[in-house]
Amino acid sequence: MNVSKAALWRSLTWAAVVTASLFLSGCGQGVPDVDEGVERGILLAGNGAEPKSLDPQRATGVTENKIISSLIEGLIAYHPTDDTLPEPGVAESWEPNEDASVWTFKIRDDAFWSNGDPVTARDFVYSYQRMLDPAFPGEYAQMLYQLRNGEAYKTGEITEFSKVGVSAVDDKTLRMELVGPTPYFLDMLKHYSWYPVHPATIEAHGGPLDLSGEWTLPGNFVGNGPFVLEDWLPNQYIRVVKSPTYWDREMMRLNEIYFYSVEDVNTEKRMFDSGLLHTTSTVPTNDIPILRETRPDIIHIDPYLGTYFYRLNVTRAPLDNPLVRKALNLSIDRQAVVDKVTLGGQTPTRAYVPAGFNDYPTPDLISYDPERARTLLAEAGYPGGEGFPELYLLFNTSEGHRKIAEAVVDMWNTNLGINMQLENKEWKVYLDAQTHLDYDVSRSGWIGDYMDPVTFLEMFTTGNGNNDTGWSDARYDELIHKAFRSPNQEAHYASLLEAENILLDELPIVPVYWYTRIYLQDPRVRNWNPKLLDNRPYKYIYLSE
Amino acid sequence: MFKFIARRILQSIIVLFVITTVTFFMVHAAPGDPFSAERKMPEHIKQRLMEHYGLDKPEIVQYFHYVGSLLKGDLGPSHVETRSVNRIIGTTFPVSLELGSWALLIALGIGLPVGIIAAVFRNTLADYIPMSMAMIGICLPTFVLGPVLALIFGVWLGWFNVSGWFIPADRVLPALTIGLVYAAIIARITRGGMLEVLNQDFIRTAKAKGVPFPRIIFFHTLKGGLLPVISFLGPALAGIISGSFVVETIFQIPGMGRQFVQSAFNRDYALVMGTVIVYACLIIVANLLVDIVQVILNPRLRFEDS
Repeated sequence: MNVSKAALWRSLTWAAVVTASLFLSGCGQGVPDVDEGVERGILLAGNGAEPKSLDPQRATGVTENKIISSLIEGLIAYHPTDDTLPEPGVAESWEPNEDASVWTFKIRDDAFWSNGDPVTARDFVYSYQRMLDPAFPGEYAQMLYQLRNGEAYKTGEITEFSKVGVSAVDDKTLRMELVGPTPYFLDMLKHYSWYPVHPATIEAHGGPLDLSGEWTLPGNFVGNGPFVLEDWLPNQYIRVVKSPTYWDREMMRLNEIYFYSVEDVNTEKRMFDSGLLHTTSTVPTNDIPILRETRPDIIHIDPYLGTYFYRLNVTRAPLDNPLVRKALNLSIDRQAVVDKVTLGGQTPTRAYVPAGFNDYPTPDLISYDPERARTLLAEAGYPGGEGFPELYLLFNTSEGHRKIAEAVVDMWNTNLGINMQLENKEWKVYLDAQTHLDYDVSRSGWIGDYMDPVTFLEMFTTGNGNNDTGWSDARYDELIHKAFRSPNQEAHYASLLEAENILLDELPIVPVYWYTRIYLQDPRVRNWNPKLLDNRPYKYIYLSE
Repeated sequence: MFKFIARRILQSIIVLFVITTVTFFMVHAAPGDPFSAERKMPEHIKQRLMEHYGLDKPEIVQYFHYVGSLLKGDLGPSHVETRSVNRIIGTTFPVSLELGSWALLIALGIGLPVGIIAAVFRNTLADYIPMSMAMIGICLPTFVLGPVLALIFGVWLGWFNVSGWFIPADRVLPALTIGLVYAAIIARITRGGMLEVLNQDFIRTAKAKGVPFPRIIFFHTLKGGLLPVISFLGPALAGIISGSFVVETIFQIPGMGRQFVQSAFNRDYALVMGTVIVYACLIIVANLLVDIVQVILNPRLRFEDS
């Protein structure tokens, strides 16, 4: 008996010793906390999912963009406060011709790569040639179709790159000829698909067509941005440090940034609560109303250039009938959705393209009118929902999407007397169903790439890979085509506005709300301004008590 | 013994081959592909990627190509991530192995003594209290225990980082999360195994002959009483070491469990195959070890084998 008791004590003591020694060896955290960060100029940022690629010409995601934009600088950079304004990046000045179809950029003399090489116009030509190479799988190559003959070169119609509208006049002068007048070209240039890559580095790691991504790993990466890549610990963090060669380094007050890959929103919240993050990428939905009440100083809700909507499969009855689509559109109480379900200060849509583009006159075309919706449905041959077939609303498995879908389906069923059901599928299965038009109604969202409404409207042209509704309208296609070639902003917007009116009259989609970016932030983070595209010019950000 | 091991290894190779083949065709049969995304890439670019990874060829050709490079030890490039599958597994497996080892240590360090004490002091408070707690431990899912531990010891008390894998102390909370659940199960199994042996005739004989009680427990009972624990440890070992997707996600640990689950969601065929093969090997090896230990501990099995 006594020995058993002794054994018990022994094991208890042993367990305590192990725990204590582990604990003691763990004094200090191994990574800086927020106070140390403020002291030493280290920004600690939650950055969502693990980045897939740091090659600006292959990356596609928001998380990648945040990191890449700290490592590489394009001709035009992000403005610290206003997304609609151009901020000089590598280009110190630029000049369009009369109809904005030919642009000449003067590259600053003090722009250097992180290995000390000067940034030249030839680097840009090399980069764009890589992006447009028919064998290079850059997903955003389409952005560069704005260059004259860019598309023809990509599709192999022409084989001489010299015919593509980009050329180095001399080391520091870059000339770009576009497919037509592009008044919003500077906005496009902020997108990372237009960033340069360092030719010698690319050549040293398998050449322009190498897909291994070796050149993007720490030690290999050469960029020209305000920061250089120091560590990349997969599924932990990416650490970038202030570049010793960046032209504007004198004004920078941040020395380092940690981009934490944190996929779980609750883990991210705990990291913030325990002082490991200055800023998060998002906030758990359930915490939003509480934090808005109790901690308005740390919760930020900024407008964001994105639309949440439902696609309607117009190739299937009864959704092929515009009256039915109108009835569905009129019977969603969007205000209730944002007030009671999404809780993140989102804006109920008034149109499809989010409000906020400079001078684009967002139309006011969407309303809640169940009475009229019932009349339209009766006109379509389903009075009181009678004879209306059972339809399914498809969404990808997610608590957030489910809640919204439940609310919307309930509004439809109650207001129209129809029978709509929910159907959730795993992400890739859902994408597959959407692509093959194997759905009735499908949850969707779209985030703008740059500050022009065309980034929202182009996708619904006939045959566009992202249309996914089966809808097609010749006049709409023509207007979008025209918008791409408008000589000035007024004509450009006029075409787009007319196109949007057609879209919202035909309704292959039912917009629900405009996104907001919701995140937590330490009040000591300075110069972090609400940005519609959520682009961060890190060189301007600093930390101070 | 040697014959037994040789036979088991041969069986394992066949099992591994079947797993590889079945997984390969199943994962390719799942809807979607590695390159589908909400914002679709242009068709010719997707085509180019499919060619690059050899996904444009017939599946059977891809299969033989895969098995060919597998035999050379090359698990191929990830279709989604920047690093190759060999490299991903090379960096994530040691993390899971370390976490699993700590968890196992906790599980055994707590589970065994508690189980033994409960059996010895059967039907007293020393039995009821730990066994009720063990029942709660078994019922408590890791996705509850993990965040609770992180909240108490990370956020409130500030003793540990709430997440990450940077310093030795970062091992404590995740290892406890996995370890406590297994400790609870092990405690119950140990108690059961011990009780069964304690009721047997040779124990009564030993008692009658005046063998001291501690000697009865540690020399006579334990050897037989632990057999059920050991057979449980086979699958448990693999389960613990392969980590847990949930625990790795809660504590932001760069282990293999997350790669395994994420790769399936991403349709990252090569990474799915790589992780499945590593897990299969792990389970096979763990079970083999357990069988060997059982043969050593249990003379009856040795007799049957010969």
